[in-house]
Amino acid sequence: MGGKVDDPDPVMRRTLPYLLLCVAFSGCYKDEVDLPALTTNPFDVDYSGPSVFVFDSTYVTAIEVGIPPAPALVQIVQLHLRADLLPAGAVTSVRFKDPQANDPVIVSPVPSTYIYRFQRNVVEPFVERCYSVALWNGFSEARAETICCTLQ
Amino acid sequence: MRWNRRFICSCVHVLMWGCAFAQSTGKLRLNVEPIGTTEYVVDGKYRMRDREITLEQGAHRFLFWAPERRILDTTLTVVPDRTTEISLQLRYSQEFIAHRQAMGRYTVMNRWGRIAPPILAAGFGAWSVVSFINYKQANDELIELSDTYGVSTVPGSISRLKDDDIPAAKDDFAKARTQFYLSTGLFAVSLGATLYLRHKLATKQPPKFEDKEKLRFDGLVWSPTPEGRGAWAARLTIPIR
Repeated sequence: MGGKVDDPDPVMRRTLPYLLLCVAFSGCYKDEVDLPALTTNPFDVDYSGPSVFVFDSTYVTAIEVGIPPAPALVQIVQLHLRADLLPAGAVTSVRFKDPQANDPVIVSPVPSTYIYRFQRNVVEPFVERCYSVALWNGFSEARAETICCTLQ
Repeated sequence: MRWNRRFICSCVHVLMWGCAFAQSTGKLRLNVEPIGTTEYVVDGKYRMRDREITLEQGAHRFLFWAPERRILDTTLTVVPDRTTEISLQLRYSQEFIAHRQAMGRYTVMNRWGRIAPPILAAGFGAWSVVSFINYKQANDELIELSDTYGVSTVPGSISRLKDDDIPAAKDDFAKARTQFYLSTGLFAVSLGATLYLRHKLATKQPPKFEDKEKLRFDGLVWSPTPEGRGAWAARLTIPIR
């Protein structure tokens, strides 16, 4: 007459370890995206890494302008991007802003390179000029940097 | 004078005998609910089950009892040379009413205790599975957005990603995680409750009915033997488990 104890359902007994396993695995899913720490992409306005712009040189060159074409001297500011800092295969333009000009200029790269040449219509030898540069893509710009150079 | 005294004595004797022989009988026909199981005791002496009983005229004390019913103690008057119909209904005893309620509770508890927790556990289990899938999807989406940040080359898209998409994905992830923890917790609790109740119900005995009215009825009745003698009945119950 002693109370007969039913064994727990075997299915339930088998379910329990899976449940615990499931709970244990669920601990692996953590929100690891730290939003304030997302500053590693050079195309981000909040980019905090090293500069991606490397100044190459500035020089004077002759071009032909107007109709009929007439020769003219312009100053070229050349720089290149550090490809190692950019996302793989990134293609981008660079926005140049001359403090003495009103509108910024969007410069495309020399094909298949990360070299950019900004052309100034004013030639100013021995005067240091600083330009605001930024990566430009999809009608929006990334963090602006300043590059200064002097035409010798 | 002596003759007169004898005559008076004779008259008194005749009157006395006449009175004695004038003690006539009547019948009672007892229709007592529940029919068939009702027993009764007449005048504290005779325990009977007959539906018809012949008794001397006058008042007689009856104690009626039936299983699960309360003892009815009443006086019935027998009318000479007539059959009197008596209709009675014995009421359920308090012990039986309490037992019936306890039995009802036991039945309901037994039924729902076996059915409801597994259904709840299955429901919470299904919910926790769905929650886990949502939780994983939210996690995957968050990781995907994080990866998108690393390869995106459009500053405007990156701003949208950081200002809108990732915070929204983080919110979704937090909600999915909370829901998963909640559903898993409820599943674990319901599973535990199911196992506990199965064990508890397996060991729980149904309530037993002890007819105290029967004990009273048995203990107070004089039972006649075939020889005309009698014995007081008493009863002792020893529960053997």
